[in-house]
Amino acid sequence: MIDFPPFLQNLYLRFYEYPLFIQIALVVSAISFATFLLTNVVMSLQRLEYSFLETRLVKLRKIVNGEITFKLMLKDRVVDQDIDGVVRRFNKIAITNKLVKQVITEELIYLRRNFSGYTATVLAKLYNRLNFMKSSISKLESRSWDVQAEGLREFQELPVPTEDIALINPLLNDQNDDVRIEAQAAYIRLNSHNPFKFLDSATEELLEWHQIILFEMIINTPRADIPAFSKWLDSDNLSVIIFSIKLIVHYQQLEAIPNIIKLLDHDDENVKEITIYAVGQLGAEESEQKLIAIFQESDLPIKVKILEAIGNIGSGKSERFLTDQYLMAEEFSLIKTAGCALGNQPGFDGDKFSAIHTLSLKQKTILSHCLNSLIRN
Amino acid sequence: MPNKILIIEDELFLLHFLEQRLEKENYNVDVARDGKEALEMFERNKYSLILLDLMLPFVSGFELIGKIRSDKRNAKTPILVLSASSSEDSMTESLAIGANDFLKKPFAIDVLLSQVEHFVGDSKLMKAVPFD
Repeated sequence: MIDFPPFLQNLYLRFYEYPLFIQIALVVSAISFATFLLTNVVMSLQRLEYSFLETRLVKLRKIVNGEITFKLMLKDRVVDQDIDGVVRRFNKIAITNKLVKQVITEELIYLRRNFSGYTATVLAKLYNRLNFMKSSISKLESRSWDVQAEGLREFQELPVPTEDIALINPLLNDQNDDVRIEAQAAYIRLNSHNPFKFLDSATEELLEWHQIILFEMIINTPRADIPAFSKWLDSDNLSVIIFSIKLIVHYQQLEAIPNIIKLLDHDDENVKEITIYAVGQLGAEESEQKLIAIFQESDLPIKVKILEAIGNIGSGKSERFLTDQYLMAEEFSLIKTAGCALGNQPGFDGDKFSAIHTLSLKQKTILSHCLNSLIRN
Repeated sequence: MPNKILIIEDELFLLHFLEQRLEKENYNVDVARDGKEALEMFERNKYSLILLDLMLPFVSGFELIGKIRSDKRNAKTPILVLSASSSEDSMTESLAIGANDFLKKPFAIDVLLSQVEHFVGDSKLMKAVPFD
């Protein structure tokens, strides 16, 4: 039996003298206070730990940067002994330590992002001598998605033996969005032959932001030849179709126009919308009749896109259609878009148009706006 | 007057590395970590070359180029833009507002050095040849 101090015994006895609701209130208060104290203690400890870690990281980065800068990067020519010297120094600062390894990897990635040519070659040699590839590979097999994503980033930025590139294939269709995008970006960057092959078997959606990142990766990675993206226009994956259309427009692959026009009949509204945009950007005159044909049955946003596309094509062949839309439409967005599309038709004369047709004040104002050379597309 | 180069870059490692590398090539180098600091330095010094990053805090690289070109002391100073931006628009715009050349990151150090030599070397040559 534990012998409590007298004041605690008194407290215990008095507690049972209080009414029930006071007892409950006291218990709840005590628990809340204890929780509050515990939370503050845990937070303070975590902050302390973080502060120590930050200090250690700053110190480590300084050492690592110093070694790489003074022993390698500031030299005009680096010999193997220089690299070995840096490796020995890194071994002395406990290179088997995860944190040290991570700092060195991050610094190497940072430097590779900023420097190419001879410096990049030297850094690649250093990375290989440090034998960090094993660690990056083991990250790909981790159960944590963030560790996998980290490993994939390292794969992209640091030299990977050709035989190891295939290790990222299982992650190309990973359920986790972050892992998937990193794997796809790495695939594009590392596969000099056929970097878009992953689109053949992409089963998961290429999200909008994925597409933006992949797009940046594609245009920033030097390529000998860009494939005909039309080969993916019949993919089962709608996001792959959409992404391919965007690439066709960017690279102005005019030979894809016939295949793109077929997509104007696609069931999916997003595919249809991007297709309409694409025919406009590609100047596909042969699509105008089809655009006009689907105009009436389309929703307002699609109608606006159709008018924009015809405006961008600017062939002059659909001037009658645009005039009708401009004069008869009631929705402001339709009138405005039709007006600007008219302004883009070759030889369109705004004064003559105003003289022939009786225009409301709204229509005159819109036309004037559309024909303003400071605003015209 | 000794040739002076100003490097304007907010990434500290890069800033100091470039400073050390250029000093190793016997150039006289000043550094600024942002646009504000750079503007203060322009008031005190004339430079033979300015290396500048487009993405800077406080005053953007584009704005800074505009201000350099309107500053009498440095209006004709060559400006070499160092940028990670791959956008053709960034390149075109920076050249249009007055930059002399654009070096995209990642860049090779020897390419940077030859660009520096090209710009500073020309100014050395101009000083050596008297106008009649």
